[in-house]
Amino acid sequence: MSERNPRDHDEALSALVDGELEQSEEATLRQAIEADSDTRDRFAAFEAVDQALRDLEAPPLQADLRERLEARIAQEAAPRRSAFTPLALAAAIGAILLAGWFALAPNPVGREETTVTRQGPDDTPPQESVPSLAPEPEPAVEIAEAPTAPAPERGVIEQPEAQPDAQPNAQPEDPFAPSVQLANDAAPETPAPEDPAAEIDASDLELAIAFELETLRDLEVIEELDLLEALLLLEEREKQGGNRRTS
Amino acid sequence: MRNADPDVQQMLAFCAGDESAFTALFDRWGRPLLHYLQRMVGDSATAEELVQEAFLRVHGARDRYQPDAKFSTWLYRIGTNLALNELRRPRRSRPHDSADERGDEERAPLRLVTNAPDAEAQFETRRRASRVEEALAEIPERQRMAIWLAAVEGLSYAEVATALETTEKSVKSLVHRARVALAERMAEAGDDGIGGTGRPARSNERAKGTNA
Repeated sequence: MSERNPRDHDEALSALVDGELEQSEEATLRQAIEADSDTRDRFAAFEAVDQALRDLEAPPLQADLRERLEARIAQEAAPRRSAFTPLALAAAIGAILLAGWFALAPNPVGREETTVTRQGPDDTPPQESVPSLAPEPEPAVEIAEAPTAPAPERGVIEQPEAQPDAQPNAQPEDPFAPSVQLANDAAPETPAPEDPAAEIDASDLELAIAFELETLRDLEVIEELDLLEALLLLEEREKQGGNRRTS
Repeated sequence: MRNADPDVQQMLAFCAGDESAFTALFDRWGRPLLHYLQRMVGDSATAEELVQEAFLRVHGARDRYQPDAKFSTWLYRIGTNLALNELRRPRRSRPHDSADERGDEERAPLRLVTNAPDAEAQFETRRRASRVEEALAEIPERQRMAIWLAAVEGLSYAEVATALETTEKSVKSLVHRARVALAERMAEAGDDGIGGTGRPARSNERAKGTNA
């Protein structure tokens, strides 16, 4: 055993406690234990550690744990679909909602230039109609650079955070309203809009939005205050849109 | 050889549609797994949740179960992964991080199974167990897992390696370092390591390398 360094010796003692040594190696080590008191004490200390660990009492298994497990198994087996459905429904509703929102949204100030260069029409009033809401320059740039191939879904999703302010549906050139814009631009390589809101008239859309908001409220996806706020915003936009249509 | 494990047979029976086999497996392994997980994550409530989660996974594996190892090895592997995930959750307060934060209720599991003949011996045994429990909470988690599986659950190094997804050589080192650390901590606390209840070392009583 003299050729062993202490660390190897120690690890072998540990392996001996676990019964992981080959028979020949075990025999040699046991001779060392017999002959050397330090080795013997070390081996005893290792065994004492294991004994102390084994003396720790296992906690009792709660009587209802099996019942709770069975309940969870039943729960996970059956309603996984139903648990997913509200999320999927909420996501779909959210997409429709946002598409409608931006179909109705007024053109923010920052996008004015883009709008004019692409369509060349007349509508400048929207700039003043929402002066308190700072326009985000990034979306305008994004649209100006890639007006013909905005991924409709992504555009719809990213919109609300960047441009919560309204834009009238009288502005078909709004790149954030793919449904209307596509009809006018007729961009050759623009992917076909998957958003079903593309074929919905504005007033019908508002009704649909109100319905979806109610659904969302039923699903408790949004708080009641959010719902009221959203409805008020819709109402305000409707008024703005009406004003622009009349003007 | 692998399929000779009666628990594997139970699992295969469950896979074939015998729900009672799953119940039997839970009754057989629920408590040992709970004990293991409690020592790894530090509290009973979390350990119970993890036991449920582990058996949910066992149940969910019915259609794809492969008896590559002993059932217990596979189960401890599931439990180990769950425990490691739990220990890495950032918001989690870890009783193991500070033994002092634990109240008396957390310490309650220190009750011992012992045949100590008198109160003094009972007290000493309890004190030693308290020391080793605190020391166990202080060592690195993989050392903690390795020595528990080897010393308490009786898994071979090969089985521990499967459970911890590492090599036997690594397990040998982990167990050794854990054992040294625990022995030192117990010695610092005044326990010379001698005077256990006298259970002999297992020597070669268990076959080596029986695990896949």
